[in-house]
Amino acid sequence: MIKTILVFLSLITLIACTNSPDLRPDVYINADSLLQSGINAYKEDRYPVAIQHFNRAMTFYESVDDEHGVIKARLNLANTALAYSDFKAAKTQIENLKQQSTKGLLAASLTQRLIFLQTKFYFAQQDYANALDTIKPLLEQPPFSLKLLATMARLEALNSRATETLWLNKFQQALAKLELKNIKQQMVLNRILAHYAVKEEDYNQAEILLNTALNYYKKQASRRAIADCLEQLAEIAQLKNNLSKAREQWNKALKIRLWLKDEYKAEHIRKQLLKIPVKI
Amino acid sequence: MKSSKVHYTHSLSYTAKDRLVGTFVVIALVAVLGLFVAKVKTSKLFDDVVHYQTFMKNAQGISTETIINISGIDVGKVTSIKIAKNNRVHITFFIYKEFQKLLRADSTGELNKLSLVGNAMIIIKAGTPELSELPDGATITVEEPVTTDDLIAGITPVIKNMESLISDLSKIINAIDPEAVKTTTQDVKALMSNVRDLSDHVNKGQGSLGRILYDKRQEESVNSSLLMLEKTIKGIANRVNETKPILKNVNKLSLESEKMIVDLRQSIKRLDNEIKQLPALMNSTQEVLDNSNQTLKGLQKVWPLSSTIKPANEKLLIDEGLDD
Repeated sequence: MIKTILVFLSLITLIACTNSPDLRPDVYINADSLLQSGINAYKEDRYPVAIQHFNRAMTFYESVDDEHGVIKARLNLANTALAYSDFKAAKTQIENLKQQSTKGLLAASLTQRLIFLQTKFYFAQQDYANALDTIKPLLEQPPFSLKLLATMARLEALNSRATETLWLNKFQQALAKLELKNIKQQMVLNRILAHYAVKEEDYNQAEILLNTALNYYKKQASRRAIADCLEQLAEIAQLKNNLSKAREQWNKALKIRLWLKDEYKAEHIRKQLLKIPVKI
Repeated sequence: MKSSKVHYTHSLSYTAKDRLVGTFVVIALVAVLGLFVAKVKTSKLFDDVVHYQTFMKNAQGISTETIINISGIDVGKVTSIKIAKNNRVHITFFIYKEFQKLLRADSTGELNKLSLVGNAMIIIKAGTPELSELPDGATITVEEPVTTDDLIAGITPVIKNMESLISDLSKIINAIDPEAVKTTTQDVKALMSNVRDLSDHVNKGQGSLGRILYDKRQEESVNSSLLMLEKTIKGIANRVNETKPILKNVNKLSLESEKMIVDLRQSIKRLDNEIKQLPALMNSTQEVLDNSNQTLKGLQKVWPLSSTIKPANEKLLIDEGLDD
C-alpha cells in the first residue's frame, strides 16, 4: 500500500514539474524568458536592466516576425519607461503601438492595456484632464475592475474641476464587497482620501492616512510608492509651515528617486527644496 | 586609486546564469533524493516481508500500527484487522523476511500486558531452531491478556461478600440494647461476688467442687478437655491464615485498578490534547501545501525545467495601476 502511494506521489510530482512541456523553437522560448527576466528586473526597480531585457526580447520576436511578441515587448518597454519618467521613450513606444492598433493588429485585451498605458502617460505628467479623456473608452464596458475604479477615483481626486466623489464611492463600495481584504487597494484608497483631507485642510487626518500607507509600502519595499507618500507628506508639512520636516521628507524622497534613476521627479524635488529657506 | 572589479557573474550570458542556478538546484535535488533513498533504506520500506495470521477473541489495543516483537526486536507490524466467520478477530501481520528463521513450528505469541493502556505489542517467542520454519500465511497462536472486564468480574464477588459481612455486623450491633447491657453488668457483679464466696469454700475443700479440684480422676478429665480446646483454637488460626492471601490479593487488585484508572485518565487527556491540536495541524498542512506550490512554481522557472515549460502569455506583461 505504502509503495503504491509513494509511486503515485512521485508520478504526481513529476507531472507537476513537467506539466505542459514547451516544445516551441528556442527563439520563442528565449524571447519569453527575456520578457520574464525583464519583468523580474522591473519588479526589483532595476529599470535599465529591464529595458535591456525587453529590447533583446523584441529583437528575438522581430527576427521571426512575431507581431504579438513585439507588441508585448513594446507595452513592457513603455511601462518601464514611465516608471522612471522617461516620457520620450514611453511616447515612442505608445505611438508605435497606436499605429499597430489602427492597423487592427492589437487584440481587445491588448487595446485595453494600451488605453491604460496612455492614461498612465498623461497621469505621470500631471495632465489629469487628458488622462480622464483617454480612459473614457474603458468606462463603456462595465463591470469595472478594481484597478480601473482605483484609477478613476484617483484621477477624480486630483482633477481640480471634479466636484463629486462618484468614483471614490464606487471604489469604496467595491472594496467593501470583497470577501478577502485587498490591502494594496486599501492603501491606494488611503492616499486618495488623504488628497480630500488636504483639500479640507484636515492635515492631521491626511498625515495619519499617508503614514499608514507609507508603513505598508515600506514593508513591501515598493520604492516608487514610498517616494510618492514621502512627497505628499512633505507637501503637507509645508502647508503646516513645518519646513524642517518638509525638507527632511523631500530629502528622503530625493534619495529614492535618484536610486530609481528618475531624473524628472528628482528635479521636481530639488526645485521644492530650493523653495525652503536654508536657515529656518 | 583602487580600481573597482565587477563580479564575474555580471559578464555571464542569460543562458549561462540560468544553467549555473539550475546546476545548484539539480545538486540540491540530488541531495534530497539521496536522503530520501537513505531514509527508505533505513525504514525498510522495500524489504521483503512474510505474512502471518492469528485469531483472537479480544483484540483490545491492537491496530494496524501495532508492532510485532521477537526477542526484543521490532520485526514487523500488523497489516489488517478483520472479523472472521466465527466472529473472532482475524489479525494479519507481516515480519521482515530476514527474521523469518526465528519463527518455528512451536512459536507462540502473546499480547503485552500494557495493551490495556494503549501500548499494544504482539510478542512472539522465537521457536526451537531444530523445528521447521513457519511458512508464509501460517497461523500463530497468540495468548490473550487479562482484560479490564475480567479484572472487574474477579473483584465483584469479593466486594459483594464484604458488603453482606458488614451488613450482618451492623445488624448485630443494632440488636444490642444498652439497658440490657447495664443490667447484665450489675448481674455479673453480683455473680462475681457469689463466685468469690464460692471459691473461698472451694479453697477450703468444702463442697463437691472442692473435691473435684483435688480429685486425681477429675483432673485428668479436665486436662483432656483442655487439649481438645487447644486443637479447636489451632484449627481456627489456620482458617484465619488461609484468608490472609485472599485479603492481600484484594488489596493488590484494588491498587492495580486505581493505577489503571489513572492511566486511563491520562490517555483520555492525551487524546483530548491531540484533538485540540488538529486545527493547528490543518493550518500547518495548508501552509506546507502553499509552500510546496510556491517551490514548484519557482522550480519551473529554473533551468532545465524553465526551458521546457511554456509560460502563460498574459503573465509576460507588466500589470500595474497608478499606485506609484
